[in-house]
Amino acid sequence: MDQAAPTPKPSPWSLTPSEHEAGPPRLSAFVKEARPASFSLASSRNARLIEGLRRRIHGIERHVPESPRSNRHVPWTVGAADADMCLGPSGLNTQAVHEIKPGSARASATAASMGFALRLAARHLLLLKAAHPDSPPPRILWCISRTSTYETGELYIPGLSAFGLEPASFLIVETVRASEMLWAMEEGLKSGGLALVIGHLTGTAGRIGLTPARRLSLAAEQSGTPCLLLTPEGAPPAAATSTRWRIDTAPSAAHRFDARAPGAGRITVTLERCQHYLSGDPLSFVLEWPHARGAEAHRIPVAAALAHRTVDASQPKRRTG
Amino acid sequence: MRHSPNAVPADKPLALVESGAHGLRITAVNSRAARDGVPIGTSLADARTVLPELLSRPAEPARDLRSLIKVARWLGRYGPARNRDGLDGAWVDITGVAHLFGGEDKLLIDLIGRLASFGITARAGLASTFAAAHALARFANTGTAFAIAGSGEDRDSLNAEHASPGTERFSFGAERAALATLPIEGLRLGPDTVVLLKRLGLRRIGQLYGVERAALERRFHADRAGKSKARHAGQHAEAVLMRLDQAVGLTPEPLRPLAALPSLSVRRTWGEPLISAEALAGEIAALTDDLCSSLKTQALGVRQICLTLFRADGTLAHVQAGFSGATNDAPHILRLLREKMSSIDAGFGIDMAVLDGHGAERPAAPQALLDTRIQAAQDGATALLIDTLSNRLGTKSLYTLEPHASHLPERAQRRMTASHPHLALPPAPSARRPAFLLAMPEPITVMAEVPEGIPKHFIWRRLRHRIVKGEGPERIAPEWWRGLGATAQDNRTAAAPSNTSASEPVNSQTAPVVSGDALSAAHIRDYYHLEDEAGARFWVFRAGLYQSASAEAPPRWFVHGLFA
Repeated sequence: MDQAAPTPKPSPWSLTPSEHEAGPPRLSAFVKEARPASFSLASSRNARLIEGLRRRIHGIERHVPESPRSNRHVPWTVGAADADMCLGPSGLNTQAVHEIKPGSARASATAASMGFALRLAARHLLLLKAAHPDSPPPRILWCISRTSTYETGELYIPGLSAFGLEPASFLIVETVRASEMLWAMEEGLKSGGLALVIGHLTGTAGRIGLTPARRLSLAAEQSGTPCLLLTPEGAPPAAATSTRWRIDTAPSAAHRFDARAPGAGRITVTLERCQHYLSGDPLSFVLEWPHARGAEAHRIPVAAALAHRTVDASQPKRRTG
Repeated sequence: MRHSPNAVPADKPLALVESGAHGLRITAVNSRAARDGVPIGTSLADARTVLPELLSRPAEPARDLRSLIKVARWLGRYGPARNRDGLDGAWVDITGVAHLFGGEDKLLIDLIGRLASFGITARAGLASTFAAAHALARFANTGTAFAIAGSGEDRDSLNAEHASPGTERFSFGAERAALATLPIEGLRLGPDTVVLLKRLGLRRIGQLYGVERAALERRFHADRAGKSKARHAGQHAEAVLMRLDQAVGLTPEPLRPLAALPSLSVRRTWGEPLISAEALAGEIAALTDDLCSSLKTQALGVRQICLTLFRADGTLAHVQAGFSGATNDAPHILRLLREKMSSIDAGFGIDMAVLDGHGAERPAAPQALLDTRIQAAQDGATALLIDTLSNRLGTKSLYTLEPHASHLPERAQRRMTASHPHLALPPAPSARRPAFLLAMPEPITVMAEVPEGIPKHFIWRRLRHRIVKGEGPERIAPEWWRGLGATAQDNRTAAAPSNTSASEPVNSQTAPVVSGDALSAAHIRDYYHLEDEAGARFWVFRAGLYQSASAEAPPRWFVHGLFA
């Protein structure tokens, strides 16, 4: 701890050496008490320090050995400033389960939520690639039920490329029973050789019990592999998740050349639960995903609010033959 | 012998009968009936006149065959190469195995004793050739339940001689001596050949020794003169001499084992059958170590393992596991075995286990990369995961996708096994392709402008979607080279710019299509990228063209994919 570091004002986040020496239990208590209601990025340096300490405390509390991947400094974020502010400087927890739910029971909303999972996966792979530039990136375990290939469809390579994802990074598990899928996800998390585990639970299987959810969470924590859990709209929230997102379709952006054609895809993202974001109202915003052109693919601008749009005001009168 | 409520006591005469052209015919008798002189092949009525208390049961050949195969499988206890032999026997190759049982005679005593404990009366023959063993088991008239040609020492020296390269001549004297007194039926000849030989006075196999082929042929010819052609005599003589040569080891006889022979096999036997799961798990771990240590000494790995557990009551249990790459890693193998061992029922106890390794090959050398340590750990972990998942869920449940060079949307990617190396390059990203493709295109009801306007609204899964934005059509023609009857001209249509404006005059589009035949037109698809009021985006196509479709069968519309 460098006391000489210039801090604009004494922040509750800075620790004195004496406090540092006081031992894990006190530190833990201190951080818990001092957690502010709304998050402020007063000093990025302090924030980084706090994050390091918090991770250490977490490790001490849970008796988890610090995994080699967890000391990466680039956080896993959504790529939109609003959302990333809520997530805190550490971004999405890479050792936890994140739940993603569609906004409605329609297949299009489910596809949008799966698309959001793909976006997060693409960003996570990018981070891993940056951390280990020499080795090929690890794979993503994509767990689906057989029925979902008929309901929402299966991954389609030509469309995946638009997300900046390569087909080789996907290892797909197709199961019939929910118990098999949860088992496969847990095995994937425990293996430690994967970048990410994504599980899409459908129908009644989406009602994930307390024990399986806790098992997934523990496995993610022990191996340092994050897990995205896609559950149906109606199912109650899964236990032991770090964040919960609700995704729905949103009208697409204007097409650059053709006013009548769908433009870049947009989705409505609502952050319903986040460990670091304690404000009462869920945060909601619209994300836009430009189609992949190299590194640009991983940038997600927050879309401007849409004005009221009429159905066919912009469309010229059609000539009919 | 079947354990059924209406089982026949062993001291009552019993015959198995089947219905033939002339009533019920006896196909098999038990030892008591045989002693009382009931011949096989007579009608049941005739036999009953001689032996009124003869009991009968219908013969069940299909069930007998299944039981025989079960016995043949069980013979895996004595060697990996085994199979049934006809409908009344089974063989097992015990080369190099006898010493484990304390000698050949002890092995046969063990074999006969175990079969007897299952209620099977069996006779065994042991010889250096399959044919000789076959004859000995069936026709050797010894007081004991088994017959051995020569002594074990002879065979050991024979095997040693066999192993050394360049030796062509073996001394099969023991077989010659053992077979000499057996009837010629032991040579597995056709019934008419046997009758012929007997008519010639050749009743014992020993009488055939030293007979020239030409001499035998001449005698057959002389006997059958006027009835048959000389060609048949030659064939008979040929068959007899070939069978004789096979029996005495002058001609090799290829045998087909029941199952593929393992590359490597280790086994453990326990005097007291194991019943507790813990004891069994410990022994299986030791067995796996045995296999892996011998694999490691040869620098080999196996692709597949099969664990066979022999229960004390003669039944078997199998556990199989496959690997994505050749492995000799004992913890890895054991982990997969344990996954499946939980379903094993130990029954009356397990007294022997055989672990077979199939498909031995050199394990892939670890890749030399800068970040070797991380890479190796990652690859190992992924390989382990692939094996674990595919062994429990089946190899078809675990796959990767590979791009395939086809413009047909559903053929643009293929499922590959999880360990398949990725060689194909992914296609260029396209905004016009959805991230999710439905496994089956779903029919929808569409309101659209004829012939190729963007739909106004459609009903999918009972929900009405009002279209706000749309792009298309993108025309995708069938692959004419796949025999759908499309002409080259249609293919040229497909190659035309796909994003044609919907407001284009109809006439310019009809010209090339009408000239193609109706079948190909029905296979042409026009794809649209549609967005409804809520922002849900669909990939919708119309199969067929309004211009060429009849009023009874208008073009149909489908949803094929969802944009994320």
